[in-house]
Amino acid sequence: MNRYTAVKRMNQMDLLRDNRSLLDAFRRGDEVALRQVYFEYAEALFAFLKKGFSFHSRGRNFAFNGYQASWQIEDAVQDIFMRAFKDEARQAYDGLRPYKTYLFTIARNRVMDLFRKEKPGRIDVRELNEVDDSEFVKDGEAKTPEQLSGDRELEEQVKQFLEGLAPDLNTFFQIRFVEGRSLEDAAIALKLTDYRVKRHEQQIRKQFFQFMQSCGYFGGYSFRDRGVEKLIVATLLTYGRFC
Amino acid sequence: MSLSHSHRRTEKQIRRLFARGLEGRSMVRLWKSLHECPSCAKIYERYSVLESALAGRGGTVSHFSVERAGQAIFGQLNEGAQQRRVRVIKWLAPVAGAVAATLVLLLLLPAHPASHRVDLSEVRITGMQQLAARGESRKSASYVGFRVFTVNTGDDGIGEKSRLDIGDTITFTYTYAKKEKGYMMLFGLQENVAKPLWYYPDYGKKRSISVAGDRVDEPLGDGIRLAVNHQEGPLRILSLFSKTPIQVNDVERAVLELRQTGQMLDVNKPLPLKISNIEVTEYSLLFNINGTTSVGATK
Repeated sequence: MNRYTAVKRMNQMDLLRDNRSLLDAFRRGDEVALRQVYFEYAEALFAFLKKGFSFHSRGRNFAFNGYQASWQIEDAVQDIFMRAFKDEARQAYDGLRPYKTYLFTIARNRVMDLFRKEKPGRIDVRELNEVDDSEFVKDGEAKTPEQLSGDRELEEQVKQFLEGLAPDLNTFFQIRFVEGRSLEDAAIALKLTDYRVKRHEQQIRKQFFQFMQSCGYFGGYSFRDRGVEKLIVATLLTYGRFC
Repeated sequence: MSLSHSHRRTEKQIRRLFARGLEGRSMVRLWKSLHECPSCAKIYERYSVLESALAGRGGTVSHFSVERAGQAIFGQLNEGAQQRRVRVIKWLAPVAGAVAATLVLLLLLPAHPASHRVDLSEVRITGMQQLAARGESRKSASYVGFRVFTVNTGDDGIGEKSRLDIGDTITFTYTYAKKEKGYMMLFGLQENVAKPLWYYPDYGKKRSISVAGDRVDEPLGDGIRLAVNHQEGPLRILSLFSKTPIQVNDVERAVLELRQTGQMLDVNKPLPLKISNIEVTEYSLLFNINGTTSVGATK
């Protein structure tokens, strides 16, 4: 990193560092402040954990290849923020460096902890040799032709599903799913109640998963209790009682 | 994979998570269980890929993932705060003696230790019975209010219920006859429960929920398990309707003041809310858990 980049990075705005009243509320553990901090930095942390990074341990260099599955990242993000929101971690933040840097340090430490504890399957780490030591490059980034064709097929099916969506659900869909606004925002924008928007979302999800099931995407997916299985259990119980 | 891992249960949890969400702690438990079972993890991933594709973000992190992790964090933080309070009480008990400990426990322990809310949208409701107060009179032209129903979610037939039992699940409908959109709060008060038992908004939320105008008996959707957080004995359910949102803190302060008068469960005693410029319509009903519905009143 050259000097110019360093100065530029230092000058970038940081929500927590540059807002003293928010920083005070954050240090006190005020929930509104914690929520603000979470939604400010979460997306960057997701990207950081997906991309991966290199680290140095016991005199050797390693690369953490990033999390591949969404549930791994979601779990890691909640764990990292739980550590970052602990009282001692909140007090330990100096309020001088960007908070993002502080958060990423916690993330790195978590990955290194898991690596040292040798939890197999939890993280994908490889050792770096002298040649690729200088810069971390993630493995397996490009998609295979099969994956690309699968993506295209899925895109088509989503398009087909959206064409059949009722107009009121379609408006909600645009705001909530495409624009990515919160349920509260969607309720305000559409002048609907919180309950109604929640129901809209559940309806879309249910219809979509059922549609995908009809396209053969899920084997054995069902929203309702399986009647046949219940019947079998009931028959077995009755049989057991009378034999 | 551990012996305690059940694919069927995990798959059900995954389905529920992607269809309508899970509570914080359950979500974390689900993620931890996926570390142990690659086949369940694959199912989760399929749902996640579909969700991202639906949001038009194939391959990148969807805002739903961010919301989910956030929900898990704040769910745990809220639960943590309650557990800390319980730990303090445990520490105080031997110091202050049995009498003082009993008083402290009565005042502090039952304050919403767990969520009593269940989503009824996917539940097969086999029986619903209204629990309305007897002799209740309403002016149909301009009233606001709510009704309480018990829900029978079991599979073994309909049980007509004439009273509220601790094992019941209740659900609500609201009526808001005014033309424009309004805001509502609905909560329960019990003698030995320190804070209001929040139904709407849910615990952790700061203000009233919005309700559509010109509605009669509009269902609110969730079921409330009385076995969680509630105790046997009188339960006053109180609703507050307003044109602008009311803050939860203001209501909790007013409840504290009302409790000190010793008339908290008197439905004719209004909540001493100290809010200026907001017109609040209050409506409350008194029930007896494990007994019959007793008194109703409209103010």
